[in-house]
This record gives sequence, C-alpha cells and structure tokens, in this order.
Amino acid sequence: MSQATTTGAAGTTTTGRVRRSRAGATGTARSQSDRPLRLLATELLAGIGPLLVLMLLWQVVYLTLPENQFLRGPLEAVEFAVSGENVGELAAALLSTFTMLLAGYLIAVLVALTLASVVTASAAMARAIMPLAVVLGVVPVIVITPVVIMLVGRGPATSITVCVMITFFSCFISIVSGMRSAARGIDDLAAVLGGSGWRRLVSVRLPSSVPGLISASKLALPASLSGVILTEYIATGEGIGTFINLARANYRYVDMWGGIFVVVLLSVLAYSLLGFLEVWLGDRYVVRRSSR
Amino acid sequence: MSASEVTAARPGLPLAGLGRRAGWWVVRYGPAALVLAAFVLLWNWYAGVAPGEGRLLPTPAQVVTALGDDWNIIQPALLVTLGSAGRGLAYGAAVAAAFAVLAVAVPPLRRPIARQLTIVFCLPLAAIAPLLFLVLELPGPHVALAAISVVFPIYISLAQGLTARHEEWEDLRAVTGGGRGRYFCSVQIPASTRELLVAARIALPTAVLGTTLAEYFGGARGIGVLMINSLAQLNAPRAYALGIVITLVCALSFALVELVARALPWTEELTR
Repeated sequence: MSQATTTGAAGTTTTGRVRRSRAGATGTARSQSDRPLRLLATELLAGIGPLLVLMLLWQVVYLTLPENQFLRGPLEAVEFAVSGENVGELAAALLSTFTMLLAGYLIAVLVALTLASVVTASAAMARAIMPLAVVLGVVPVIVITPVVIMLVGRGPATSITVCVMITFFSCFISIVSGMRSAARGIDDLAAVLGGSGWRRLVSVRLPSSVPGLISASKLALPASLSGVILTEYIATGEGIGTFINLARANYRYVDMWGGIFVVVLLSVLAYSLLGFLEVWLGDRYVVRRSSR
Repeated sequence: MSASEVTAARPGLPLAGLGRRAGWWVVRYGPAALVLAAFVLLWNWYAGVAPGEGRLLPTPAQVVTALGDDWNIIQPALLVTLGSAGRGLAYGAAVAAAFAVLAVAVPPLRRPIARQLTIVFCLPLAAIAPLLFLVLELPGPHVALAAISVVFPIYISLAQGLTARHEEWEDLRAVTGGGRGRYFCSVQIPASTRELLVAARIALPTAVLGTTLAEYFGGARGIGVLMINSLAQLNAPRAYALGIVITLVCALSFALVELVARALPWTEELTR
C-alpha cells in the first residue's frame, strides 16, 4: 500500500503500473483507464456471458417441460424481439420506461448533490438533515408505491417520483461519504490556501464524490427499474410493465417472454455500462491516501 | 466521524456539569428534532388544504387512528407476508450458502459465480413477477420473489467473509497439519460472522420487500394485497398505516441485527 502510494506520487510514468495493480485487486481487467474501449468490452462481455448461461438454462427447462402451456423458448423470444408483429409497440413501451428511469435518475442525482454539498459544508445542517435522511432511507419505497400513486396521481410523474425516491437515498449517502472521506486533508489545505467555499466544493468535494455516486447508481438500478415497471403496471398504463401484463392477459405468451427478455437484456447492459464507468472514473477520481 | 464532531462541540459550550450534558443533547439532537417536528407539522397543514378531502392525503392523526382501528385486519396480513418472506429468505440463503461453499472449495469458480448471480440481481423483479404467477401455485410466487431478491446480497457478503485470507491461521494449519474441513469450520466460518451480520441486515428487509412486491401482482392475503385494495377503495389512512407498519418492520430488523452485533464483540466494526 505505502509502496504503491510512493510510486504514484513520484511521477506520471509509474502511475500506469499503480493503476494496473489496483485494478488487479478489484479484479476486472488488465489495463484500465488507459484503454477505456477495451475495458468497456470486458464489462459488457462480463454481463452478456452470464445472460447466455441463463438463456441456456431457460432452453433446457423449455425442452424438459413440453406440456407447460405458458412457457416459450428463448429462440422464440429473441425472434419476436427482432421481427415480431408487435415489435413497434415493444420499442415504444421500452422508450417510455427508460425515459422515466433516466429522468428519475437525473433528478435524484441533482437533489442528492445539492443536499450533500449543504450537509458537508455545515455541521449544524448535517445534524438536521442526516437523521431525517436516514429515517426516510429505511422506508421501503416499493412497498409504499400505492401511497405515492395516491399523492402524485396516475401520470408519468408517479413513475419518476418512485424512481427518484429509490435512487436518491443511496446516492445521497454515497456522495456524503465520498465528499467527507477523501476531502478531509485536501479540503483543509484548500481552506488554508484561501480557497472559497464554492471553489472547495467544485474542486475538492465534488470530484471525490464521483466514484461513490456511480457505484450507488449502479446498485440502485435494478430496484429503480423495478419501481418504474411497478408504477406502470398498477397506475400509469404505459411502458414495458403494461406491455408485459397486457400480453399475459391476452394470452400472447411469445410477446410476454420477448418483452421480459428485452427488458432484462437492457437492464444488464445498463448495469454493465455503469460498471465500466465505475472502474474507469474510479481510477481517475479516486484520491490515494498515504495511510489507512 | 460523528464522535469527533461531538467532542469538538463539547468544550465550546458555556455550560457546566449537568447543564453541559443537557446542552450537548440539544446541540446533538436538537436540529434533527426540529426538522422532524417541522416535517410532521407541514404534513398536518398540507393534509388540511390538499385536494381530495383527506382521501388522498390523511392527517397524521387519521393515520394513527387507522393503525389502531384496522390492526385486527393488518396483523393477520402481516403474519402471512412475514411467513412467505421468511420461507423465501430461507431458500435464498440456502442457495447463496451453497454457492459460497462452492466458491471456497473451488477458487477459480469465484468470479463466474459472482457474475452469474449479478445477473440474477439485475433482473427487474416487477418484470419477472407476472411470469412466476404463470409457473407457480399461489404462495409460490411470493416466496420465490423473496428468495430471488436475497440470493445476490447474501452470496456477496458470505463469499467475502469466507474467502478472506487469515495468514496466521494458515501458518498454524500448515504447522499442525489440520484438514481442510476442520480449517473451514474452525477458522473460516467464525471469521465471517461480521459478513454474515451484514448479509442479514440487507437480506431481512429485502425479503419482505420481495414478498410485498409479489403480492401486488396477485394473491389472497398479505400486506401487499391489503395495500392494493386500499388504493382501489381510496382508503388513504389505511394505506399510510400499512406503509408505516412495513417501515417499522424493516427498522425492527435493522435493530435486531444491531443487537446481535453488539452481543458479539468481535463484530464491532459493523456498528461503527
């Protein structure tokens, strides 16, 4: 640890090796931030490979249960997703769902960044806001979704609100801990050198919160997507959640399996993409500490 | 972190003895209490002026009343939900433990297993819930969704705890010639207590969430079924009361794990 830090501080020529050894510890790829495309390919393959295994298991189950009338095979699902008769409907539904997800993520991250900046700047605000944030963080959002529907209505705002509520808490906690952990020494240094509060926020605390923010967004992704799909199913009547359930209700089982397959595929791809950003940006923004 | 803030705040207070202690409490918990009180007051005020005459947003008092009045309906539903969640948790934990033992026994399999279970974690539960209702008999989907949602977090914690290196113990084993199984039972399992508690802290609320989510998609009894019915009948006080009950159950599970962690002093880091 101490050796790695010394070489890292010594000069740019050796940082590559330091990064590589750190990446080896986290176990993703040989070369990291130097070759982002290769890293991206590795992360995507790491997502697609297991998905193929899952499809293989699915095919096996499909072949061993020929009398089950609801099952459709992976090949039929893929064929539907590529060239089914309702594929336009499927694309529209997916676009709607992922727009909600993206909007929810953007709002949650903006609010979390603002609140975290306030909390890390003032101890009194931290004591006021943190306990409430922790209490609200215990509230299981998926379970209180019907309450949100009562409050917000049955429009797209509900999907976005649920997504914000699921994503916000983990992002907020990660940003606060990122801002606090890495910034201590450098933040004090910046203060001594006469950096203004705003300047310290932008140059010290915000960069140190990036890796935690990406990890939190990655881990919150499946739950957020699930939340959006749930609101579509019980409230808004749009998006992939409704597509899947209409297909089930109308006995279009190929459509149903196809829709589920595509949404799982997109979820895995988005997760892999965030995993790539996590490693790539983590390498750039992480602050090396002299001792643990 | 908070401990250093507290010690920094202490000498600055112009109070002495007992007064200083009271002042410390005010400084430490005052702002949080104020924000909480403001939150409840704001809720109470907004419930009065909001559209829908209390059918969409009840006052806090109405919610507490509903909690008391409907307890004879809520309690059996809660027991049904907790029963399904408990069974799901048991199945999920068994699967996760089996994979973790495999990861300890065959180190090259560690990464493929982790990757494979990551995919299980990536499945949007609300998208696969309708499937489970087609394939399984009725309490089945509720149990299965709870099991699916806990496998990944439990595996990650267990594998991390069980595959940790303990160099002194490895040396001791090399010298005394202990067997692999003995080493696993006497060193690796006790050493992973902390991770086991972390797993429990994540998995207990997650299992309840998984079951409730499945209950939204169908079922005869349970908290999720009650919730959907309250939404359909616009019975807002009961919906909020149900939300509070589930939140308390999750909070209680956190507290329970915390208590166990305190009883086992070597897991101190968890409670930090």
